[in-house]
Amino acid sequence: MKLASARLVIGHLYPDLLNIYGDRGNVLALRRRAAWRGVGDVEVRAYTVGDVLDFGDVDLICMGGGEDRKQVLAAEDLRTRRDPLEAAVAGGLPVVAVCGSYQLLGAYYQLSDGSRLEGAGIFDAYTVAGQQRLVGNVVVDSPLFGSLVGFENHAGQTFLGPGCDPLGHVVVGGGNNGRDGGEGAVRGFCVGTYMHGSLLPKNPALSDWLLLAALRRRYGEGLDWPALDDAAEERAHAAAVRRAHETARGRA
Amino acid sequence: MGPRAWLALWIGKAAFLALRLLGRGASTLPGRLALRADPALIADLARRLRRGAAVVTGTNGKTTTATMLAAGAAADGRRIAHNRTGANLASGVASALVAATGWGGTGRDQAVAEVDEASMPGVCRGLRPRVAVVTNFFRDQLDRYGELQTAVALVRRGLAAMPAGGVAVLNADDPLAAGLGETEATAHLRRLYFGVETDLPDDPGEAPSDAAHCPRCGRPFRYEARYYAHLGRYACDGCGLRRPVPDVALVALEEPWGRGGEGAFSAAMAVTADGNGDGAALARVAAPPGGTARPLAWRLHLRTPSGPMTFDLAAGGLYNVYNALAAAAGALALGVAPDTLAGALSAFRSSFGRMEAVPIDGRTALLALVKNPVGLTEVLRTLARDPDPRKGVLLAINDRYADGRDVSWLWDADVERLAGVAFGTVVVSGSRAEDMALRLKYAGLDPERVAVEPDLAAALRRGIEAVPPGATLYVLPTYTAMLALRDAISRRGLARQFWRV
Repeated sequence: MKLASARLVIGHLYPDLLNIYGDRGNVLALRRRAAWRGVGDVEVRAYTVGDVLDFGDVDLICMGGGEDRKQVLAAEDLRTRRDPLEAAVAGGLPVVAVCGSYQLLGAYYQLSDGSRLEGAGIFDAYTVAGQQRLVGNVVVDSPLFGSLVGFENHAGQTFLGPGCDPLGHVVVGGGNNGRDGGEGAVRGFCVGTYMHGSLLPKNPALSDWLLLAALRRRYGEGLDWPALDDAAEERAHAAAVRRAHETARGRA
Repeated sequence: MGPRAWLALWIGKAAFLALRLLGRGASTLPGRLALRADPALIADLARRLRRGAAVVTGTNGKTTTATMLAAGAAADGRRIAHNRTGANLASGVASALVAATGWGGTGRDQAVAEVDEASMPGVCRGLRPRVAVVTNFFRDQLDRYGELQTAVALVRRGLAAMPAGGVAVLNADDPLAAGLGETEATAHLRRLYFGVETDLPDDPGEAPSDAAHCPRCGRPFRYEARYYAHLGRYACDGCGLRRPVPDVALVALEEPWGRGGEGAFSAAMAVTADGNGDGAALARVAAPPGGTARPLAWRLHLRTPSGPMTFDLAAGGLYNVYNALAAAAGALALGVAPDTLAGALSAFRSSFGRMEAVPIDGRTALLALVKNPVGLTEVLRTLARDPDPRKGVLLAINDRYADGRDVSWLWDADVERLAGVAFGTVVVSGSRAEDMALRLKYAGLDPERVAVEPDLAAALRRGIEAVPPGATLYVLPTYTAMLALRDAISRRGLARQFWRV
């Protein structure tokens, strides 16, 4: 299978509502890396509240984080798409959800007044509003991807059930809840995380895993998958890890 | 004034004296010490201002707008206290007041203070300003504020603390700023809106929109015209929310090269000649041998409650058109006559690091502070309109606390604009140089063309050497990177005229 004749459709969910932490960077990284590999036709489609979305039409889903008010709007819409999304994820649809949208993929978000914002239930996870925001650089050691680096900024504390694994183990930062040492969640090819920064440009292994999963799902095995020159990505990753350690030690 | 306030004033003044003797600049320390001695000092000193105070707040444009506003009030013959170094927390405001008050307690006529959004409630409770200008709200340093609504709420609390009959000067084109005029917090105030009522050159680009949704009902706005980011002429088809009609309105904008007679600016002329005069070359500066750099100027025509007003604006970037509008509205609210104001604004020159030209070794370094996606997008937009292919770019990105630790905003800026621009060299620097380099790669720039030099002074040297004499190096630093570059420049004996602390 030649990539030149392949087509990749990236569905960007709620770009108008969930977009505050450089989430464009994740879509950009996926788009560029697919194009650099020679994928003939890469398309990004934006979907927001009320839009018709057939998960069979997209190869990969990208979602970001937003302010509370906008997150509620997105949550209401996402709930109406629960069953088809569940089926798509069970069928291997790759998803990357950062921060607010990661929370929305869990069972619920419990606000400080005890009320619950119901999620899509894709992850066996729930989130509780915390007293203190977890803000700062994050370094994670991931069994699937090795070192991952990003920046977290969240008041919600997320706890995983047995139905999904953490994306990795926290080396620097707070992670899911600042307590159990886990960061993010993985179920099949669906990844949720608090790391923005943007996440994907500086973590090309994760980007490529998502891309390859998306293309294999449509075209099967046996894709020619050329390596890219990731020198700039690796330097940026290393520099960000270095800064994470410096800022964690309180150095300016 | 009670004994405690006198003591605090004298402590602050003594601190100024001591720092000056040590040859050190002082913008926050004297105020911090004085406030420790008397936390109510701002209120005490504000009462000694004969004509009260004005504050300027909002995400972008605070420093430039406040400086323009202070210039307008000063041109009216008022003696002004002003935190001109951009130290905009309570300590900075207190410092400016202490510096402007005599040992015997003699105050100036008026204070003009730029105030950080988070400091608005506290500063306004003390200062009791009769005029407050709100420039705009963009996402900025979310790691400090949490989210945009938090900043809006803080400003709202500041406005609520103003005395009855004061004036809230609000950006009509920004739904978040204009929305403040609809709240309880401003019910006791007169509201004066400023905005743009004419087409602006250039497209608004695809900068992220922070408030493209109606704050009342959540529906996406319909834009009749969008100027940049979410600023424009908006309306909500859901609940009928409309942009207020601006009282102080830009009704016509003449582009810098449209008036002829400025033959020195060959680049601008070239743009005019080939018919591509799309708002370009604002930032083109000609540095005649031995002379000082001189920027081109827009000409602004305003409609105001005091009649029409026209002035020239020699500050690059469309956002400075908004800053001038905000300052004009603020100065009119302070009772400055339009003629006086027009003269002051025409004489205005950018402050350091706000699109300011500094001659270095026969080249021009054009410094433009960048701190959030909208600001960076607007600076890149200005740069992209400069047709000189010899120009260079230095992006200096730090992630210290004052810059914001989180650099994900680099990915929200429309850096893609650079990909199609002709220039000689790009240098990236600062503690997040590698992040910036990566951003440029994904924006479509060949990594071979991007030089990474984390050391700021070395990066400046490299950038200057990489552009030929007579050409411009655009220097785009975050806040602490700008301070470091400023040191590097002053160590080279340049730009001494900018230290007006």
